[in-house]
Amino acid sequence: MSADSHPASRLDETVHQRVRLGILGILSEAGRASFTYLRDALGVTDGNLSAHVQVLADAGLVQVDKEFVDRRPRTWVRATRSGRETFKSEMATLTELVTRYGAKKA
Amino acid sequence: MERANAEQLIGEVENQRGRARKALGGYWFPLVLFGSLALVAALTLELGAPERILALWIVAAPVGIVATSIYYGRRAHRTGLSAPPVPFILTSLGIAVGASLLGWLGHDSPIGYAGPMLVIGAGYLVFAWLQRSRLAGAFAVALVVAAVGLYVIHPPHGLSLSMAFLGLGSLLVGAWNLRQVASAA
Repeated sequence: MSADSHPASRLDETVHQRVRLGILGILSEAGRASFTYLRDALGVTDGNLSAHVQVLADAGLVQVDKEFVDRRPRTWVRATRSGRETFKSEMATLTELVTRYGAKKA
Repeated sequence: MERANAEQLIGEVENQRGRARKALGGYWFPLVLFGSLALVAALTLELGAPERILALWIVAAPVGIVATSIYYGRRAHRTGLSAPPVPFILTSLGIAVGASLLGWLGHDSPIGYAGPMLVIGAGYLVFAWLQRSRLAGAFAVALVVAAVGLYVIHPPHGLSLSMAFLGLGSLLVGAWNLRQVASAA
């Protein structure tokens, strides 16, 4: 892909989605986040979040760990190196898109 | 994709990142703990028991590190967020090794107290960057400036002064951060 191609063509299909980009955004700040935190922060249902996390995990962008605290299961999600890089790249592309639209308008 | 959609998406993601950053921003516990220890050390020195300082830090530093790890572990379970631990562990180790080494090498010279303070200030600067805290960053810079000042001026009771400054400053910054965390909860 050429560097001067239109930014819209460089948007990543897997992460170019509000919830999935939100998950990676939170994980870019925190080393890991619990399933409960992500669900509440993003305002989605358990099932919805599970589906989005699964898509990211299948793409190798996040890793899911399960642990037991006081015999209760807890799910943690962390971004992989590839996930952090993909997030940065997606945000840069979105910013470029906004800048390009702004320049065209002016 | 429309410009408005892209802007809205960026805004939402930045908002979520900001909230996560805020939830991770409580760093008062280690500051209050190690600040108190530094004040006790300064007081011990002034009361004429310098030989007890080494014993104090040998016992208190590992206990303080374990207590801080437990605090962050519990906080992670409470909030559902935890920062990557490796940069914090490496910085703490750097401070412990660097400050001990300079304190030992510079015994009976200004390097013995200005050196550790400089290392602690530099370490706090890294912590401030990791926590994205301007207040902690300003305190770290103040520590570095004070370390250079102490080295140049070489005042009497330099070791006590450096520990008192570190202790008092850490307590004040820690108390301020605790207030911020409490008001955000």
